[in-house]
Amino acid sequence: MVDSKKVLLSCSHLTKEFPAEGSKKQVVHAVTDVSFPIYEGETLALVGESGCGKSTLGRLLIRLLPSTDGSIIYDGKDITKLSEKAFHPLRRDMQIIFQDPYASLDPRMNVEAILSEPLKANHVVSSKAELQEKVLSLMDMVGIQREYLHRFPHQFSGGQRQRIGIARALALEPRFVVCDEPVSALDVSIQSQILNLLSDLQKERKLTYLFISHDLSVVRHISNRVSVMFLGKLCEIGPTEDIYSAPKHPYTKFLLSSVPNPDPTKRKQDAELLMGEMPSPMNPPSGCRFRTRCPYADKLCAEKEPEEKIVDASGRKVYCHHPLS
Amino acid sequence: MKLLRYHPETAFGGQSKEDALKSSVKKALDPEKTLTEKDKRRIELASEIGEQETARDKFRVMCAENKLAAFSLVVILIFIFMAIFAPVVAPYDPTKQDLIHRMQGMSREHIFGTDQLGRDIYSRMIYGARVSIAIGLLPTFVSILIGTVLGLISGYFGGVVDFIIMRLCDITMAFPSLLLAMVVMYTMGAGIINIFLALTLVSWAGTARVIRSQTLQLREMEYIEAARSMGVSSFAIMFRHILPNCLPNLIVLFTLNIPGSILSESSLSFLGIGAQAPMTSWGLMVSDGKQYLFTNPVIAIAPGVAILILALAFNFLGDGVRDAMDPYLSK
Amino acid sequence: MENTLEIKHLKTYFHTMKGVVPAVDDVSITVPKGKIVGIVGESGCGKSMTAMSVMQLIRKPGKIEGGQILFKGEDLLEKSEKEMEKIRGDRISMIFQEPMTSLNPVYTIGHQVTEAILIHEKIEKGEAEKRAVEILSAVGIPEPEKRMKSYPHQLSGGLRQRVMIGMAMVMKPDLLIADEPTTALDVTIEAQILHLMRKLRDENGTSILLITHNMGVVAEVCDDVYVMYAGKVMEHTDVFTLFKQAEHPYTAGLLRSIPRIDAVKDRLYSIPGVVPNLLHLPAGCSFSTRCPYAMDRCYEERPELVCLEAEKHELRCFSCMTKFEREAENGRF
Repeated sequence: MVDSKKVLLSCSHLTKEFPAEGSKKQVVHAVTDVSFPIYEGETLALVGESGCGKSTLGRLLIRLLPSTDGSIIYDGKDITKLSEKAFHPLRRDMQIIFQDPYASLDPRMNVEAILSEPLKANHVVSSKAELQEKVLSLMDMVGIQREYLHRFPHQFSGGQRQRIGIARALALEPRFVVCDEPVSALDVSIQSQILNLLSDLQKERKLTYLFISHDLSVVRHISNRVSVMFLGKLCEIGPTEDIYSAPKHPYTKFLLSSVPNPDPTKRKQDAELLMGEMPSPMNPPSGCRFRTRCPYADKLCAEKEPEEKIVDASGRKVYCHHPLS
Repeated sequence: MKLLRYHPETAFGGQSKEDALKSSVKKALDPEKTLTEKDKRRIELASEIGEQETARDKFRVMCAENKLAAFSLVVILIFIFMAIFAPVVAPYDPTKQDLIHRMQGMSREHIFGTDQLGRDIYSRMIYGARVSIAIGLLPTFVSILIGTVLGLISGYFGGVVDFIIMRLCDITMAFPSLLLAMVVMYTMGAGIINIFLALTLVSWAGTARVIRSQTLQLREMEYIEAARSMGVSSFAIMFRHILPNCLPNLIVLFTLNIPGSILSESSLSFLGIGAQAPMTSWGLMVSDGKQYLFTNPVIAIAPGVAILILALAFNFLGDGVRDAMDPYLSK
Repeated sequence: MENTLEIKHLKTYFHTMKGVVPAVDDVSITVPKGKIVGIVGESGCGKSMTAMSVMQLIRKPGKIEGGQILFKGEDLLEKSEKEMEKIRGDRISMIFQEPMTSLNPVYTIGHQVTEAILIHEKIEKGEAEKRAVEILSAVGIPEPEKRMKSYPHQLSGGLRQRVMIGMAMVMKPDLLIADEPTTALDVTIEAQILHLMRKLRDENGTSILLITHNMGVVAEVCDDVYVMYAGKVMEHTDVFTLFKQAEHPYTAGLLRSIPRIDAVKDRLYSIPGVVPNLLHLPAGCSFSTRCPYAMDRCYEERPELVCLEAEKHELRCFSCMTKFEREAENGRF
């Protein structure tokens, strides 16, 4: 678990609106008023269904996308308003690992070129020999054989590509890494290899992860804390074990009970099914955004947005008018 | 022992059979034991994904599957060879007049006969190929270069730059290209340099469009985002990531644009505003021969057929290249 | 019990430039009436190709080289393309991972469901439309009257998948083949779709062949499971035995390597290496190169699928056989 409770990165009231396609007036509320800290050395998971804005939030935090409103504090410094030039030295500290190992590597570059690029772009190395040495050590780190230095992405399997993607992200020795669904495109037997690699690297290099995923089993395995998002807003955030053993937000509860359990003796009862569809992010419901699907919703939920409630000593926060007990 | 590669004796790096058996038994007891280097090697050996398809592979596949394209390539190479080595290949001096033997039919001395001034048509065609092929290749190349740079800039930066470049494209494409080329030629005067300029000017817009749309698509790829997250400059992204990924398209565009250029040059020369005597091109030869179409049709027909063959060959080759490059059409 | 589908020794090979790819190699699968049978495996193991072979949707360079596909006792491989067209959609339905491709984009949902009803039942158009609304609401589509007028692209992936299942319900097929029906969907929607499939089985007695890579989905709905690896069936048993005591090293490895929602593990087990290239399969057992229990024999000989005892547990593994033989001997002494 996390010993030092030093905040590495935090966001407050972070909001992102995209212009809706085809119409100039409407906007897509991708992320609305999200605030949370990420502590050094921890793995904070960000879960939610597709379209809930979790990937957008991950990109906002490392400034791959400009935010509409709110602020991001990295290491005590507000990086929200920094110019691209002033931000450049900090870029090295925050990297991203992508979901699709097929789309995240340039098909026309070999391993050497892919891994050299970040080193060259940031003038990390001074000589050719040093560059070569660094690239080879990165390959060793993720378990890609040195002989494959001149191979191209299509000559590797999905798992090996993801390893190369991880090596590239770690080339600049970042402190904070956004893992955007890093294993969801991989085969089951390969998933565990990559998950193990990620946790080994975290221990070795004292990395802080924001682990974005829709797979709740994977999240339980890898994370220290979990934040649950629904339609651009946070529902619940707190220590993983607490949330999995006793979810407080109704959405978290449904999400957890929907996961198919690899144990045929524990088959689900139909009553646990969450019905309905995701509302449109272009005009989200008033008040609590989950209320249209929530069986516990009442008048208050439609009128007022739920505020942050701290529900227990671990600092767990729930955004719900009627948290479950 | 059929496939030595997977046999434990070799797979375990020369370990004896007994040892291999022992180690596998040991591992059976503790499957979670971390893998040794040798095991990794064995696994890698067994899992050579090696489904590599290099450009050379693709070329070979194209030649094997598309006989027409392969044949076209041979025809084009013969034409180019003849054009380059014209002084050696041509039996006569193309400008040497021989008024006694004028307007001769096909014979052993003169394969395609002689024209109204007694010049050897075959030799003139060989020299004419130089102009026709050069005009086919060069303006296409230059226009693709211009179109690519503009398309990249337009697609990558978007906004006002994109707007201006795309409107320029629209304007260029609004005119029928031959008409536009004629206007240019009339204002600048006939001549080989001006044909270059005119043909370049009319054909860059198509390339710019194609490259722009591909840039827009590639710009959204995760590897571009990855490059941005690592602080790679826009310039480097454009030329190191996007351009190489447009390359297959560019090759296809190049081969498919060449016949257009060849035909345009022929048309311009035929209309008398292209190549000028004493220089010769196939278009000019057709133009010269058209008055004798009923007395000695070979004068016009021979270069006409040559234009047709070359243009068709490039078209077939272009189709072949496109099919080979497109992963959805192949297989 | 009557079997809806019996695949016997099916072989589907792909003849590529680089050699012959045995995508489906000597696969035998039985789907009893009213049961949900799962085929589970990783990408490239031949599970989808098996389904496509049943539907006879294999295109060049693929070819069904041998075996039988008995659908209610009739061999589908002997049917003409015209007869197959009648069987597809009417008696065997198939739903895919991306339902967009199976719905016609230029017709409304209502039109397509109504059409399906009209093909199947001799009733008036107005009545068919009423039935269509009923069906849509039965598969859990909110505001079915409104949705009747929607085009496929206006619906979310989950809704489209539900429309597909709705159409399958209309057709009342004897067999539904579902190829990764929930892979593209979110977990809450996945749970709904799985529930629907169970309902389809319970209410109409439809047999379902479910293809998936997700062990959770298998545990949730299947009765019988086939585990495939590199074009071959590695293990076959009922779902409870599979999750309680999977014998094949591959199945056991898979089950141990998945993170569980109901338990925390410090470190995940992982099967070393990657799936072998089907063009260059190992000389012996195709799993030998990744198997922690591999013996000498495994690298040299290809194991056969052997039925264990009487309880319908089939296995393709030498080391398991050795173990069972030893146990049997021990039992005797």
